[in-house]
Amino acid sequence: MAAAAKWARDRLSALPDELLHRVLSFLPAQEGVRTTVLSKRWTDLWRSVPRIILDFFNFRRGSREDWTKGWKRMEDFTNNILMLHRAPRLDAFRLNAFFEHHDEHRHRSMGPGPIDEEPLDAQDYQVYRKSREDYEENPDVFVIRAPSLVSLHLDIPFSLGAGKSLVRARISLERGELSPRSEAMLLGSPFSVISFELKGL
Amino acid sequence: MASPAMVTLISSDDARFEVTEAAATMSQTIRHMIEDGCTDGGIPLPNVPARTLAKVLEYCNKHAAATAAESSAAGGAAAGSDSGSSSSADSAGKDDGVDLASFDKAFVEVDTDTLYDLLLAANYLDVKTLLDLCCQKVADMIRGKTPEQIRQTFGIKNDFSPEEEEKIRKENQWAFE
Repeated sequence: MAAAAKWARDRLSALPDELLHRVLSFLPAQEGVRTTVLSKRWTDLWRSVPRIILDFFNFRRGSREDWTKGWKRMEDFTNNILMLHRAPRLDAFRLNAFFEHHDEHRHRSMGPGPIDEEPLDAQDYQVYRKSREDYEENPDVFVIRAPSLVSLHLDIPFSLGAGKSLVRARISLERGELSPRSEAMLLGSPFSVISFELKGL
Repeated sequence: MASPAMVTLISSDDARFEVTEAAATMSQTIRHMIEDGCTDGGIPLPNVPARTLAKVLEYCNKHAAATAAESSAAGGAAAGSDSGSSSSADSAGKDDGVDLASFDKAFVEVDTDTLYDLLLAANYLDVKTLLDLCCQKVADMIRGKTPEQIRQTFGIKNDFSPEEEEKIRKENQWAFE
């Protein structure tokens, strides 16, 4: 009885799915997925969280660790979450990646890999990076197909296949970073954009 | 200066609260009721007890006053009046962001029962910024904890058998590395 009285006060698990999804959307993605082991109530909640936030710093264990280990962890995690996630639509997808060295293999697998196989139906898409050198050799590295995209904020070279819902876009690139192909796609897709800021071209 | 339009809200336990329309309509639910003209004799809120409603209105009053101060500062007119807590807020429009952020932070420093009450009320009343504030607070309480610590914090009963828990950890090994 004592135990029952104690557990009876789990008001968190008693919240409707929709509200728990909202709570989980404020956590870094890994911590959200880890709630799967809390109890049966929590097993599948993470799969429908409408926001995915991936930050390289959350994958790195301390500043002394070789950054490639953190990167490998992020890569595995990103592949898994995009494959197993079931939200019909994302409100936001944020990828915050910081690179210290150029590495052809790694930036390529980050780009079209998971994103291309699993087109994201996201409303808000943000990708950041720290160093520009990473993308110089392969400017078409990032392919985005997101027909429901409303807001886009990028500072990497990309190809964009957006639908009519894209209304806000902010893109920061340096001259020469945009290949003819991505330029054509960029000019061809944002029919409905009412706020567009293109820096550095 | 004309006195602001007031509305009366009635909690589930029949307490009456008189608030400015600006504060009340931070709730989309109440806004729709006012637009539909259902305000005669007060607006009943059968899902919200007085204790929680008082707290929600504290939030709405503060934020509505800050919005009013901001727009009047922009227009050069005097700030709108508001009862209670706003005296320090209205003076300088620039400081309102900082002031509101610290107000918000202190506002959700409450016990978990109060936090759930606020979260559910914010959801029912459709006050999006308050709902996000509460959800963020719960997320902050989860952040950085092991599963066992999370269970202890929130009183979550682990209803997996050891074998089941082992299996689910294995399946999701990629998230625990």
